[in-house]
Amino acid sequence: MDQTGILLTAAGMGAVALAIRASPLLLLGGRKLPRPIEEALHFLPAAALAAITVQLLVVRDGALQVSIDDVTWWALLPSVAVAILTRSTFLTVAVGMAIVAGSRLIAG
Amino acid sequence: MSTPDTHSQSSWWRDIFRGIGITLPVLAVYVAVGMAYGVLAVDSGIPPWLAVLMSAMVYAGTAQLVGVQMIALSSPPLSIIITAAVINARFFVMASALVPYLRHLTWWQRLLYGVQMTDATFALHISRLPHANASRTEIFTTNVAGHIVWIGATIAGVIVGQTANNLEAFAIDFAMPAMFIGLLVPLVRGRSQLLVAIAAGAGTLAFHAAGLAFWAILLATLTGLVIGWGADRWAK
Repeated sequence: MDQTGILLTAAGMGAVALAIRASPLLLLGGRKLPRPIEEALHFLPAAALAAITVQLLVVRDGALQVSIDDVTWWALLPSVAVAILTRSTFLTVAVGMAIVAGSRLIAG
Repeated sequence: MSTPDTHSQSSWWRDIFRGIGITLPVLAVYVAVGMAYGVLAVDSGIPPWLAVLMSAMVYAGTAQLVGVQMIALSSPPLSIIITAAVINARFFVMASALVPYLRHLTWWQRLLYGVQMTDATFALHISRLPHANASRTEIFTTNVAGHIVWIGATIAGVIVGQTANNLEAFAIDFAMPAMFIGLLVPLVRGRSQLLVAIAAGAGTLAFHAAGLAFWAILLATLTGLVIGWGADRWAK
């Protein structure tokens, strides 16, 4: 893709991101969505974040890649444990990255 | 906004410092993830200035990360934009949840809030705004600081990406997955949310294995929704 193409793609991504994030704030006001939809949407953040997390962990270059000798797999469990115990995004990232960096340092 | 008098000027500064203070952990995470994105963008052949501009215009880490990977694979622009919409769909729900606490903002302030809402600032505000009487200054300091740090971290990332050659040593590739674990886990409260997360995660694997890579996130998210909704109904 040439630079103009990338620029236009980025502009399109920005436009959809803005439309999605701002439209409830601008249009919804006090109105409520139909109840079954609201009940289902209640689960959307957890569902979307779980799907994205798994995709980030196991997909490389558009293909499934699950190799157990990959150090990121060993950092996964402690990261989840830190997240459960502290409920802190910052500590989860700090501990997770420290474990990955540390094991790579040791493994050379 | 009206000109602040001397009294409100001191509270203005107090709100600025509070806005930055409560968001410091988030900013630290943005530094790591923004750099990871910058490195990946130049690694994918995106011109550095465009990678930085994307952080300013799009300001949605996951969509940007997936977007540059798709650009590198020469995906058609429309498919990239649709994927960005799917990945960002969760923000519609998050923004809806914030509506009751942002009613006092003018329409252009709400628009600005929409430009700068992220997973992390949502998590921060949804736990803070219902209980604390946060001023507009504090709310927007948090959001603007996040946006500025995100752009700054991207600049650092594209510089590092062009010069350094062994980035894995810094574990920068784990910054983004770790951030999502740190955002997801606190959301999982109760059995049905746990079931939803497991279903959506397993769904992502299944749809990838089935060759539906492009639609995996959307289909897995919908699977999670349906299962969560069904489980809730069944339990009642």
